[in-house]
Amino acid sequence: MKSFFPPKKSILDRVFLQVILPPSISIGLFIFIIFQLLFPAMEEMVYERERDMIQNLTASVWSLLDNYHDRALSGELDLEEAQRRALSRIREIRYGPDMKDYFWINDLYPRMVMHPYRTDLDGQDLSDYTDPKGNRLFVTFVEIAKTQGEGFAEYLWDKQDETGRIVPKLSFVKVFRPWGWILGTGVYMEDVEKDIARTKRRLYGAVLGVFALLSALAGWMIRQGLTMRKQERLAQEKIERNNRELEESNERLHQTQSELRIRAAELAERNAQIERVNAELVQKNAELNDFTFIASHDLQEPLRKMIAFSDLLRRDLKAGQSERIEEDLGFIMGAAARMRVLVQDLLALSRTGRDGVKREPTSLRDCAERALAVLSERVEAAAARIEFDALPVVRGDRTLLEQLYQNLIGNALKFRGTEPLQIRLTAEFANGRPVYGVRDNGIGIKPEYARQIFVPFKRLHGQTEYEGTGIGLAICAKIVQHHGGTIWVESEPGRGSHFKFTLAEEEPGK
Amino acid sequence: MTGNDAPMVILLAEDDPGDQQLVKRVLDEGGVRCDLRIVHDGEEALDYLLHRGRYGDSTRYPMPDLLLLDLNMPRLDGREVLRQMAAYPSLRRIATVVLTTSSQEQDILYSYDLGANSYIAKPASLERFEDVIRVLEKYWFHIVLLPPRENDR
Repeated sequence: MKSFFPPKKSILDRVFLQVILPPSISIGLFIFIIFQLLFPAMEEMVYERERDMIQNLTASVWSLLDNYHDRALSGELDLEEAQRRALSRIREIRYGPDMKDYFWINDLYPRMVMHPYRTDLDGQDLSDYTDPKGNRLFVTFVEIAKTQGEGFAEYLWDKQDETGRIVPKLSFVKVFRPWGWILGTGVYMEDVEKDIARTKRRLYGAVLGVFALLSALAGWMIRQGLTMRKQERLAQEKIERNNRELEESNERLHQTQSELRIRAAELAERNAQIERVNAELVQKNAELNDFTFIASHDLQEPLRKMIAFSDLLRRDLKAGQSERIEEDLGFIMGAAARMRVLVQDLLALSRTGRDGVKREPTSLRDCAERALAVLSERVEAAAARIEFDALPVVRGDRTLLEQLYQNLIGNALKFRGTEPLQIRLTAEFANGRPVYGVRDNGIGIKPEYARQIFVPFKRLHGQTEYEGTGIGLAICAKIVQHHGGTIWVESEPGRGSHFKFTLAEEEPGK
Repeated sequence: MTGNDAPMVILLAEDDPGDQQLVKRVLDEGGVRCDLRIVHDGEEALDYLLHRGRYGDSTRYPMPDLLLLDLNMPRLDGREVLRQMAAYPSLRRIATVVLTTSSQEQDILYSYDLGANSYIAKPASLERFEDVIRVLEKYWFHIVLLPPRENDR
C-alpha cells in the first residue's frame, strides 16, 4: 500500500506539466505579445502616421506659397498682394478630426506673420517666446529651418481655439526661402493619444474576446487533458490490475506446474517401484517354478519308494518272508520320516520372513552368540574353536539373523574335515560395503557347486554321509534377500569355506 | 556275447538305498542271472570304472557290461560321470542306461549327447519297475551284441 503515494504525487506533477502548463503559457505569451509588443508598435505607428500626415499637408500648403511666389515673379501679382492672398488662403485652411487643426507662418527673425487663432501674436517678436517649460520654441523652428530646411519639434501650445489651455503639441516646420517664411502646422498629443486610446479600446475588446476564447479553449484542453489523464490512469490501473491478475494466474500456473512436476516425479517413482516389484515378482515366479519343480520331485521320491516297498511288502507278506517284511517296513518308514522332514523344512522355508522383516538396531555379535548357544552341544562335541571379528550393530531382524548364523555355523559343524574345527565369524569391508561371514576349515565346496547350494533341496552329499534336506542354505539365502543383501560362498575344497553375506546398505535418516 | 559261465556284470550308480534295494530285488525275483555291483555316487562310479583307489583290483571289480546311472547324486552327479567317461575310449563302449527320476528335457538331451545308450525315468510302481528291468535284461543280455570283455581278450 505504501508504494501508492509517491506515484500519485508524480501523477499530479505530470498533470500540471502536461495538461495545465501548455495552455497557460500560450495565454501568457499572448498577453505579453499584445501589451509588450503590439500596443507599443501600434502607438508608434499612429505617431508615425500623424507625422507623415503633417509633413504631407505642409508640403501641399508650401506648394501654395510657391504658387503665389511664382505669380509674383511673373508679374501677375505684386509681392505684397501675393503674400496677402497667400496668407488669407492659408489662414482658412483646416484639417484634423474636428477640422480645427491649422497652419501658422512666422519669419526667420522670428516674428509671427500669421496665426489663425492667436491673432494677438501677429507681427510680434517671438525671440523670447517660451512655452510653460521655458522652451523658446520659435527660435528652435528658425534653427531647424536654417539647418535642415524642415523638421519636427515638440513643445507646449494653446489648444486650437481654446485659448489658455496649453497642451503638448507635435509640429512640422518648413522654410519658404524666397519670402524668408517658416510654414508650420502640428497635431496635439492629446488628439493622437485619444486616437490611440480609441484604437486600444477596440483592441482591448478584441483581445478580451480572444482571451476569453483562448481561456475557454485552454479550459477545454485542460479538461480534456485531465479527462484523458483520468482515463489514462484508469486504463493504467486496469492494466496494473490485469497485470496483477496475470501475475497471480501465472503464479498459480507455476504452482500447478510444480505440482505437476512433483506428481510426475511421484508417478515416475511409483512406476519405478512397480517395475522393481514386477522384476521381483518375475524373479520370485521363476524361483517359485524351480522350487515347485524341485520340491515336488523331492517329495515324490519318498512317495515312490513307499509305494514300491508297499508292493514288495504285500508280496513278502504272502510269501511269509518275515526277514524281508522287516526290511520293506524299514524302507517305508524311512521314506515316511524323510517326507516328514522335507515337509517340515519346506514349512520352515516358507515361514522365513513371512511375518515381515523387522528393521531394528541389532547386534550381529548377540545374534551369533545366541546361535552358538543353541548349537552349544554340537560345538562342544566337535571341540570347535570359535573366533570373532568385531561384529557391528546393524538394522535388521534379530530372529532371522540369529537363524542365519545358526544355519551357517551348523553347516560349518556338519561339513568339518579331519583337522580340529576352527570357525571365525568375520566382518570386513569389500568395495566400500560391510561384508559379514562365517569361515571354517572344513571340507569346502567345489566352485561349480558354489551357486546351487543355495537352491532348496540341492544336496551335494548322500543322505548316508551327511544328514539334512538341503534347505538350510536356502533359508540363509532367503533371510539375506529379505534384508536386501546377497549371500555367496568362497571356498577351496579340502581347505574350508567362507560363507559371506551383505545386508542392505545403511540409509542415513531411515 | 559273453561266455555262459560268467554272469553279466551290472554296475548300479545310485545314492538312494531304497532304489538300490529295489533294483536288487527286482533282478533277484525276476530270475536275472547277473553280478550286481553298487556304487553310491559319481566319484565312486568313476573310481570303479577306472580302477582307482579301493577299486584297483580289476579281477575283484570287473568292468561292467551294463551301467545303470542315476543323474542326481552327491559329490559328482551322473551328468559329470557321462562327461568324464566320454574321455576314455574303453568306457565309451560300456552300455550305459540312465535311470533317473528327472524327466527334464535338458537332462535327456545332455545324456544322449554324452553317449548314453538309453534314458529311462524311474517308474512309480513296482510292476512297471519290474517291466523295465525285464526288458532291459532281455534287450541288453539277449538281443544286442555287447563289446567283448577286456579281460577276455
